[in-house]
Amino acid sequence: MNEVLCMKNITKRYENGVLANENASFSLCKGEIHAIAGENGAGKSTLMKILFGAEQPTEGVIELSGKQVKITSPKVATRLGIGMVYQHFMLVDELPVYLNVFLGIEKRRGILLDKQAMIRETYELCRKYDMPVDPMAPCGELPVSLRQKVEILKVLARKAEIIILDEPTAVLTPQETEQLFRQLRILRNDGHTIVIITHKLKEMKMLCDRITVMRQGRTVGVVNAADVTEQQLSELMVGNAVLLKVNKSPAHPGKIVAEMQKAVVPGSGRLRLDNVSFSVRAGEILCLAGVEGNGQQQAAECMTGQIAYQGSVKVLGQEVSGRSVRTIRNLGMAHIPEDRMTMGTDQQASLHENLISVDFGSNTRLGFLRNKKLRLRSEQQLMDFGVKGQYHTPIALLSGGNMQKVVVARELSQSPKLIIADQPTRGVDVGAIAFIHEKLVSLRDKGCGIVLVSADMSEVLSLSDRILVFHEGQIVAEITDVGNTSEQQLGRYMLGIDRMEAGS
Amino acid sequence: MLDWVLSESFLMNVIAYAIPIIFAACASLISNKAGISAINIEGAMSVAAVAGALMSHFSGSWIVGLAFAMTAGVLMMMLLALAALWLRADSFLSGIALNTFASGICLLIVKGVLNGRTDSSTAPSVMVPQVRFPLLSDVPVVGKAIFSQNLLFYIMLAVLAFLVVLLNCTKLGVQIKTAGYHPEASESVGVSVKRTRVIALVICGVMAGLGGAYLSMANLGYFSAGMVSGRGFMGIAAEAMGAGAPIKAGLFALLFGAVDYFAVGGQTVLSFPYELLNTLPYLMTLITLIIYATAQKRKKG
Repeated sequence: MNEVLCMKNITKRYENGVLANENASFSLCKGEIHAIAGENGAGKSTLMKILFGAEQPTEGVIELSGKQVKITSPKVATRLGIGMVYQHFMLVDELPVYLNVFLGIEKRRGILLDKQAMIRETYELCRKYDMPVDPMAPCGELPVSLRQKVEILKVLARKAEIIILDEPTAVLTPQETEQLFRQLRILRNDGHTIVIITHKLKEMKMLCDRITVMRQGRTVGVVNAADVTEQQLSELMVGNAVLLKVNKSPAHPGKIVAEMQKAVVPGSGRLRLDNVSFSVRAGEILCLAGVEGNGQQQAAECMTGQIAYQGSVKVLGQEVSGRSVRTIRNLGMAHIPEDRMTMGTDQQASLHENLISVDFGSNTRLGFLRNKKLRLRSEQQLMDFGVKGQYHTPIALLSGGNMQKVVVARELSQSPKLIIADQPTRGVDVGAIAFIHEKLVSLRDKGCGIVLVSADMSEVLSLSDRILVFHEGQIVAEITDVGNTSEQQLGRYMLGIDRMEAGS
Repeated sequence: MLDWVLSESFLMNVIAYAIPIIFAACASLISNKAGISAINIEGAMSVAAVAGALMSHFSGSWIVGLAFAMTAGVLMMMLLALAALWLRADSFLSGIALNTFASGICLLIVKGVLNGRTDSSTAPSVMVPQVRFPLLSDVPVVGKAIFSQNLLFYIMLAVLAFLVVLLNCTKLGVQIKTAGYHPEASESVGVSVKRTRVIALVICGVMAGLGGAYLSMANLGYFSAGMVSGRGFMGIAAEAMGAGAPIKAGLFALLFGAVDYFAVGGQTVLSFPYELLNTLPYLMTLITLIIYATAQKRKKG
């Protein structure tokens, strides 16, 4: 064990009083792959931002190779050999790959850019680490998995010894994840030290040497990945046992609540949705699965009235086209949008304002709001859904998981007949995931039809009653026997390697 | 009318009218690339025109005048930087306010210095010299237009070339584009977006300053209130239609210059109500912007 980095007693208190890290410690050995595990809001991202110099600790020290260092900015971190691959890529779409790789450290000859040298070095890095990226391609034209490679190349071009990856597999298919893991192992064998921030238990076990578990801002344990079970890990993370399996009885589908007939959504180049037909019944959870950008989002957006389409889309008996979102919602549709920051919530508003934003119910008199009643209703909803926050708390102060709970509380409290849940648990912690799943299942049992759009394999397989797999705008497989389908098989459908014949 | 269009002086005049618009387009391009819209280019040109006219008159040197015009342009852009980058005001609203401020301050200065006059014709500018290439300028039709022009025409060509090289082949160019396309990416690699935008606005101010100087020190010979009359805005429109490509923006600006000249020059040649002719440049801006927007929309699908 050769310790290269040590963070001791790190405390981070924000100006608004939020305590993100409290006395947290972290240590790294040379040439290991180390996971930082924990729920959302556990403080793992903050701890890593402190390591990368993007945040300053209120208290605590960082030692690099035994020497105390002050990491005052990402620039300093970079100079010290620490690199970070953000979850939200920091790539300039309009610039070619090689300029993105050398962004901020452009090579020059005189005052002009030395393009040839940068292209050559990018190419060499790609070859060395087995990354199939074209240095000349504009970044915007690359698929997500390759954009991630560019981010890694960026870090490598800066000669980083320690590489931090923030939830790198959130956007990848199982096959792409395996490829990434293979490359990360090459990097480790090459002497790099790798930290991945994650809350996916399986990945920690598969990839990592050691795991540091965080809870409520503190480090609660450091374990060897080989020595713990997934169950033990999740107990460490959450603090009490959480069922990884969704508890549900077989579905009893009733009458059709929404259906799509030969729907077409045009796009640039190819059709976003190509002659898609399917229906959702009351009392079932239908999953629209697929790699991002293969039409499943568009199918959901057709049903919520967000985008125009050709063909027919009926929600609760009414054709969507030409109707406002409000009208469709009033029919009994609830929508948990994919992006809670821009569509799901108003970041400027309080929890209460967010909760009442879609519906006042009968809590108005002569056009005025009955604030006391509305407030009671909001407080009830916050309690029912276990949101950590007061009704007057600004929503921007909540962690991702709690924010999503507010969205779910608002949408599911309307006693909907149809729920469109677009990535309802993306970037949400284990506790909140279980909670949201439980709510969806209980609504299903009450006869609500649920359309789930998800890229998370284990969610798709554990929650759905039926799966439609989208590839390039078409449905390539319909899986009714969800229990006996493996992640690998689902992945092959999603990547378009396999295809189920219609009617089979 | 055909004689007029085909005459040697027609092309020369079109270019002469286009020069300030091209400068404005260049100014707009560099600021937009860095992700900040500088609609106070119009006002900056006006202030630069006053500064250039008066300073060249009192110093007796066009070089001093030009230097002051560029400085005035930069100062106006620094006011925008102060409002939009430091005080975080909306750059568009700040730009509008600065344009209003500019028209006021220009009048104030001229009236203050020249005893209540609204133009500086009593204190004529020292003109930026004309350059004439022997032999080449004798080439028929284009010779005079291209090889016998004001010095500022050649500076303008240099500015265009400078922009192309700056944006495509230098580190600053990459920083400017990154600040515009993805500011967070810029910050993530430790390049301050604010710093980059300030630099871009300095360049923008210099270019707007040159455009203003052309009006009062090469074209007319003195400052007159309202002399910019929308040329800054036309430049901004030309840049928008060129979609960020310097040469394309320059060509659109040339087109605007042609229409601008048509509106003025046409009055003596055509039997057409001049009030209507005067609306032509603005109408043209409007129509091309609509065509541009429609084309963009179709492209996006």
